[in-house]
Amino acid sequence: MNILISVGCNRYDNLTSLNEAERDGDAIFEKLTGPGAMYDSTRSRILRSPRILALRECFKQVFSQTPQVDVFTFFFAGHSGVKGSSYYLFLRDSDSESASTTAFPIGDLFGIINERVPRQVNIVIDACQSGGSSFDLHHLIKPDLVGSADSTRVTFLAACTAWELASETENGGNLTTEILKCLDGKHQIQTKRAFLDLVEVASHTSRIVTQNNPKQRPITWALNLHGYGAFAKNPCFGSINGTVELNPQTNADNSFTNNEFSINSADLFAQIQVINDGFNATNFTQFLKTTFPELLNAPDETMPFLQTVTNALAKNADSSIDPLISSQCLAASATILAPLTHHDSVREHILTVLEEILHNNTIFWSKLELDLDAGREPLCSNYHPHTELFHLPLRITKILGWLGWEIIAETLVPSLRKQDNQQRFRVASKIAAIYSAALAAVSDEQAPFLYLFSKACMMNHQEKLLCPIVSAIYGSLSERKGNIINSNADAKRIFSYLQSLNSNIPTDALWRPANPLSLLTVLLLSGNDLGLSSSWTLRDLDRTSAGFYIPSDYVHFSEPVMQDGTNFIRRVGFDFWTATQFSQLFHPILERELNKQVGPQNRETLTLIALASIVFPNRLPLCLEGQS
Amino acid sequence: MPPSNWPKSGIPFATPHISSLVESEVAAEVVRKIAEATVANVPQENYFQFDHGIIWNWLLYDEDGKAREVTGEMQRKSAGISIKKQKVTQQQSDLIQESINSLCCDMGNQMNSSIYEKMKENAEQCGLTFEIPPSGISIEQYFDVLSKCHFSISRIGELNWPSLFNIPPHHQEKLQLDLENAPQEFKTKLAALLATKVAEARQIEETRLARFDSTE
Repeated sequence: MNILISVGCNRYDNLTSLNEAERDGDAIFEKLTGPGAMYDSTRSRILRSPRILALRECFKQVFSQTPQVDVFTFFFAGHSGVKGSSYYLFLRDSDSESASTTAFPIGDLFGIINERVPRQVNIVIDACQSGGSSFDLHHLIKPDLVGSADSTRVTFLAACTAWELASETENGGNLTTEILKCLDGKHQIQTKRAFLDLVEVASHTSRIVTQNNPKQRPITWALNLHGYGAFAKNPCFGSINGTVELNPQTNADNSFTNNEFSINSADLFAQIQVINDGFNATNFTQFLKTTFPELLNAPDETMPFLQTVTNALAKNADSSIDPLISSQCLAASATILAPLTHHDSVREHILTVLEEILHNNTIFWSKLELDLDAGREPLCSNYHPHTELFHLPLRITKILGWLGWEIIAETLVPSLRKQDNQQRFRVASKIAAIYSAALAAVSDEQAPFLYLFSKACMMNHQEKLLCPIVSAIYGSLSERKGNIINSNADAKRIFSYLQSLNSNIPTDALWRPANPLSLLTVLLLSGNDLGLSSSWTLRDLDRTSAGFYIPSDYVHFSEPVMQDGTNFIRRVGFDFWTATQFSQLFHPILERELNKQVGPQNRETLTLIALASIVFPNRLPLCLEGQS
Repeated sequence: MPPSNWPKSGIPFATPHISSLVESEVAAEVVRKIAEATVANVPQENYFQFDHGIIWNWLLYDEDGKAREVTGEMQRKSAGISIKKQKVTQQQSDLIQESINSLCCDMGNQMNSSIYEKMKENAEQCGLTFEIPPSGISIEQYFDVLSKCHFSISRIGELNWPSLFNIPPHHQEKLQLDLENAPQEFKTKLAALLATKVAEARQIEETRLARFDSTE
């Protein structure tokens, strides 16, 4: 949890009153704890002209209520001074002549930091002689507090040196005024990271304060800097403002000429939050399409902005526990470009994205393999045991699908830099061995993933790996008599499904499994290709239907819902009795329907179609049939 | 959206967002009720859910068992109601339930009429149409109907008896009475027909199921 204590002290019993310090404290508090800000508004505190005991009590309360503080920020605007080589904050009842007994020594704050050890501490003091805080650094420089990777990161921004005065105007303290401009986005510090580091805010504001007031030179010191810190959300994160201008020679509709678009940090933060709560491809692609409405009409002009936003989202959605979240964001953004693969610039962008996905995933596969080897059960959540009855088999199939897609992508697009196929098959093999009991049919969403993995195995003569996986999932589907859930199921439906698997519980009369079953289609096709047809009986699946949807044009395959096309249904026990018979029904239909389509897809488009079936797992990329 | 029969006006303390959400809940309740009624009455294997498109394609078999592809198209159903403003100003609390029932009834009727039209079309194609006089169905006509009907076996192995529905209750009662009072000769003939039909249905089902074990 992130905590802010903001103190503004205007009123003094023994010192000259100030005019704007309370307002500065208020403004900082409002900016850092307002809606969507990074500090917890209920635990953070604001103090206006407090007495010294009130400040001590505030520290006591805040740290007792929140034992584990992640980022702690302390802001002070008021009087301060150096006495006896120690630096003090002057509160309402402080007396400069007896600072050691009436003022708050900054060393005490450092003592609190030493004891509580937040991950990160930001201290901003807009007060005279505040640079004197460095005289008390010895409180922090101790062998057990500095130098290690988990040492508290401390950044201190002082409004002036130890011998200077910090001024205020009618707008507030000089330093605070400039900081607030950074927090408002009036000063753009950077756009690539979601959070502003106090070091970069200090660097920016110090320069401006000194330019405007040569006798006030803010100083910054810091300890244990590693990576980037967080002081506030970055209001300019991902901010782009662009103008899409079309070549006037084109015959395009003038209504989108000079189409301006802008997106602000609030949109991005909201989207990151949504992604971290669970990736939803429909929501994500809708966000991109809404933000860039002219993407399909003016791809060359819009592409750089799309790239910036997608990368920002992919890289900053890292607080999700899903290590493949970045790949999912990139994949979703790439699939919306499927209709544009004939554009050189788009194709180039797609290839870059595909390589990035492959690279990201390879890093994860390496880690996954190590975890599997170490017996860490890396695919099973420790936190939600009940829902893992559903999600573990689904997760395993999804991983196999990603591995399969990667192999297919590298085969279809030879220019992609090759990663290690042997590692992919090794990971799949280890998953199949370690989680053999979880190779089960639970959802129709497994269909495209199993299809892609199956295709990849067949392309690479990995029948020995594929066979037990297909057999296990088919066996499970058969045992459950085709009772699996349909795609995009919500929590309530997943619970109903899990209850329906228990024969000791009376079946809910309103429960209906997925029907038709795309998963059955995939299993029957794979089973037939693997020569398993003769050993399978479909009797337990009697009256269920194998289904497959063929769009009228695969160019719209990345739409969340495809409008034009046909749902084909073939019933077990009425239309076919064996996997071979199903295959004999399936292939002529597919051939006929594909022949109706406008033209053959290029290899990049085929790769994106396969990827779209991962992003939106309620469709099968059947146009891959025949690709070898 | 305001009801179409109400004038639009500026209203102080209006709460358009939350009000529209409440109205959406009313619509959602209608959808839930319709869905529940549909699910409850349709066998599992005939209840399909599609994510894409409006066309579906399946195989239909003629009397010789020869299959042909047929396609169907999904239909959009909608219903509307008019609400008297007086009911609101008088704060009649049964208004919501009344609206839900009315909308459900309207949509249900639409769906039923579509189903009957489809059944009629199929019956005409198969020659399974019978003219019932205003006085009701006779036992001879009933025999004729049964002799032309296919009996089938359910997914749990039970016989699906043909049933007469959408026939006025008093006609059904009369038929029941006529069957009970029919001459013994007719009763014997009917029992023989039913036995043959049941045997045929069971034989067809056995043959069908045996194909699971066939290596063809």
